[in-house]
Amino acid sequence: MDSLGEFEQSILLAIVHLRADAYGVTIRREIEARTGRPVTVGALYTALDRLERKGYVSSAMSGPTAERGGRSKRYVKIRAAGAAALRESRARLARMWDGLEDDLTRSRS
Amino acid sequence: MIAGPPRLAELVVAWSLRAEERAAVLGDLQEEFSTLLAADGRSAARRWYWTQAIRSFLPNVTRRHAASRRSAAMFSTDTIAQDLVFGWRMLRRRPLVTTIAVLSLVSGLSMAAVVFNLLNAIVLRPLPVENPDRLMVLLARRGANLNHNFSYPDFQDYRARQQTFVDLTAYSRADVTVRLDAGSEVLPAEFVAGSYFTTLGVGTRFGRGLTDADVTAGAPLAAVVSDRLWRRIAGDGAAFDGRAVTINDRPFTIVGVAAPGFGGMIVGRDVRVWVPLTHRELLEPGRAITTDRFVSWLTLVGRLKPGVNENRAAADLDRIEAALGPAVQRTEQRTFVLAAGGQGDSMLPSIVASPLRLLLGAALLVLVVACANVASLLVSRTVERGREIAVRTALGASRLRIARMLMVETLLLSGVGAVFGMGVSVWAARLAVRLITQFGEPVAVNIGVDWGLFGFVAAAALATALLSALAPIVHVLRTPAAGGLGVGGRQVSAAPAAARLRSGLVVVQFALSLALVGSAALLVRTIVNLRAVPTGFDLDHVALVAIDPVAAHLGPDQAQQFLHDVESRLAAVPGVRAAAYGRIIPIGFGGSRGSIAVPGYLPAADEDMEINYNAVSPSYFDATGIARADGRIFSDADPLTGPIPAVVNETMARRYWPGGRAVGRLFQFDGADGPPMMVVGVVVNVKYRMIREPDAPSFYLPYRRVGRPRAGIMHVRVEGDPAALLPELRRVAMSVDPRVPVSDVRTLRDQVWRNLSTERMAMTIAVALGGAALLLAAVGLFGAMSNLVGQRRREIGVRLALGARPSEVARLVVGQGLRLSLLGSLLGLGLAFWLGRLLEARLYGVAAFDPFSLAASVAVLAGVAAVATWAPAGRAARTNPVDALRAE
Repeated sequence: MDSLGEFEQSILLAIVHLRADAYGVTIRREIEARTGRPVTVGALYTALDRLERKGYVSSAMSGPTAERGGRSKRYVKIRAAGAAALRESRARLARMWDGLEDDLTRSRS
Repeated sequence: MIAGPPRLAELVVAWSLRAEERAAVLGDLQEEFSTLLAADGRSAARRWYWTQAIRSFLPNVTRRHAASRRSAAMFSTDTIAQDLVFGWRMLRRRPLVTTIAVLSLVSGLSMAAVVFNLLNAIVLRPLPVENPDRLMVLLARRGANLNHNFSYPDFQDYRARQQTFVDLTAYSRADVTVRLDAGSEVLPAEFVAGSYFTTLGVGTRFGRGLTDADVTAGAPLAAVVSDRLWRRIAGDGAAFDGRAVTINDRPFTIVGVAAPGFGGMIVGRDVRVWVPLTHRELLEPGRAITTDRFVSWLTLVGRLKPGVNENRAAADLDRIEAALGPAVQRTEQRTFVLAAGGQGDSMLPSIVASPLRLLLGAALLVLVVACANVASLLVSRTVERGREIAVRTALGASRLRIARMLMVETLLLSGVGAVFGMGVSVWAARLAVRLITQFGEPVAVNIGVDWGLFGFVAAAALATALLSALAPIVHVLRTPAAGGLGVGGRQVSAAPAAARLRSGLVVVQFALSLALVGSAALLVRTIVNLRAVPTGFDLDHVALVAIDPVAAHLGPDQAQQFLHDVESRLAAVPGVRAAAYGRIIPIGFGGSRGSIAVPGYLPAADEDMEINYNAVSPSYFDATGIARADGRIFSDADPLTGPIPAVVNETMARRYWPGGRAVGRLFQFDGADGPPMMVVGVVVNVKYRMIREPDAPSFYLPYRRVGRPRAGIMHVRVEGDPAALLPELRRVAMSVDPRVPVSDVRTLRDQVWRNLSTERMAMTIAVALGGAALLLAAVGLFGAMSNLVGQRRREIGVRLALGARPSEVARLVVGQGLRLSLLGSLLGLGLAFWLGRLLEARLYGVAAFDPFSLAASVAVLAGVAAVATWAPAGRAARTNPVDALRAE
């Protein structure tokens, strides 16, 4: 299983947060709101493409809406493999952090 | 109005995206733009949109490019180039496998190409005339038959009155004697109308074509010669100088040299000389054929005017004939039928078209057998390469990609096969064309590479590649992907499936081979039967010498004397029993027919009273061995006035004088006013035109009572083998009068053989095809069994270790091979029966379903299968059990 990049993890987690309402705009806002880092549409879709090819997410087009100039939304759902990859990334990171909490908090102070 | 996102930025984004993404991404951007517009104002929203557009541009374009590469990977040129290079390396690494595959393809493709080449040269390709599809041959309906020939006066009237053709022209085939430096030679010629060259659109290399002025009475003697004859007369590169050439003893001025490649209007006949048809008299002095409206001898061809179809043209001719016929007191009703004239009114294409089409079908079956070999080899190769393929799959190559790799390899193989096959086919077709004769003469057709052949071979090679790749690709797609990556590279999982596939291919090969060998057997039996058909002649002791006293311009008396002299000189040659003149060459496709009236005999309503006859000298029956059944033969002592003594055949005697003796009865030519003919004797039936003809009435007249002497045949019956005497007979015949050309000297047996040329051609090619299929199937079986023995080495080792005898192991392998061949043979029986039905019309004395032929074919196939499995069986028997088990 490939390890996930930070941006990919952010996207997957945003999708989980958003549940049924995950699409381009909401995912971007969710990440920006939680991390404070700007996300460009191009980067987002590139990452979504990659995640979809790996089988971590699936997407489906909705019907067109007026507020979007009559364009459809691409709703994204996380798949079991994506959830597993997230857990695996978190576990891996946790193992790396193991026993370092104190050192890092101390050095910071 | 709601302000939208900046138009230009939107366009930039749209352009950078894939079409499928546009709705989602542009929708997202617009949605956020609207939100920002409401919250922060127009300029902030616009700035944001532009920033997004610019910063997303590169990722978008990269994504689009990657996606298009993914979808195009199957067909992108660089990966195909990789596959080509790789495929070439793989082929070179296994030279034996590659050689067998290429040889299989070369033999399969060249066989098909040979037959196609013949079909193309004789049947498909029009003559080298301008716009051949606008040429029409004029035929006249006469009862149930079609008349192919017309008289010169009729032609002139039709030509002058017709309105639907650009022009009409007329020609007649003939042989003329041309005096060359090397001596006189009989050459194919055409007597033509003045409109011949212009109507056909045939150009000249030098000078001009013949014109109407050359055809008028009293015009100077003018001729056009072929490019080849011109080179022989004047030499290569000689300037055109309007020199004269002697044709049938008259000096003709050469007014033109025909365009190179043009050889007249009859397919298979390479005309060297074109002479105005008004000189027809050269062939039969004293006979005013050109002015006689009731002597039909010309083929009429017209070029349709633009926009006119054949129905309208035929109607126009019918209209002319409706007025002309009664005016010239024509008794028969004549209506016109127009036929495609791109090949003139040639007979050869119609004779060989159907056998050649059948043979082409058979050749394509051979090609399928060859494909099975290639497929079989590739299947076993994919097993050997199982590990490599597994690695590729693991590294991300899709199965489709691997299938494509196989496809590229088969394309390479068939490409190499096609190049060699085309070369071989041209060479082989030149040999094969010698098998085809027309009226017993070899045919001249242009065999070579043209676009038609090229297209055929390319299409066949492509189909071959697709067909050959099918089995290995199916095999790869069905094999589990992980199968090849076992420990130590043992690909046990794919091997049994591959072996089954190869066995299946062998069964198909033997099934097709049986059908082809069975059909060839039917044709061989046909030839054997035809050779045994009684002809009525003493086939083994007669020689034929063709002479033409007319070409030498002998007067009637001189010609008479000449024939008499030749006859007695030939009869005096040691070993000769008898010699005689006869006008018609035996079993030579052609002959003379005449309508007769028999007093006291009432013909049925549709009975054809036109029957064969021959003008012969009295010793003809001795010289050919035709047995007398009743009465006497006419003799030189018979008076030259009064009833003409006639000898009739048994069928004629029985049909017209049933129940009584024919001898002493009278009959005459219908409508003729000369003396009647009186039957003096009856002889047994002989084959007149063809071996295959049914018995028909015919009669013989003394040649001295039938018009002037004409070109004919000296029949010489000898004691021993006539072939040995041929040079001597030719020498003697030529010595009588050096001016008289002696064109052809051959045995009667040879003449019969030539009569069967179409059947022989079909048989020879069918046997070659059957043999090739069998050989290819044997190679396939050999490969499959060798492979099997290799795979089951361990099992064989165990058997031997447990006490099995080597001979038992060998029997096992041979048994397996025989089972496959027998299964194939059984499956092929149905196909063989079907092919037999297609051949039915060409068979003689053998049924379409001939148990003997089929049983013999099955036996031959089994024998070949036994031989093909011999080596693998021997290898299995020699297996050393210890080595076999240790190798695992």
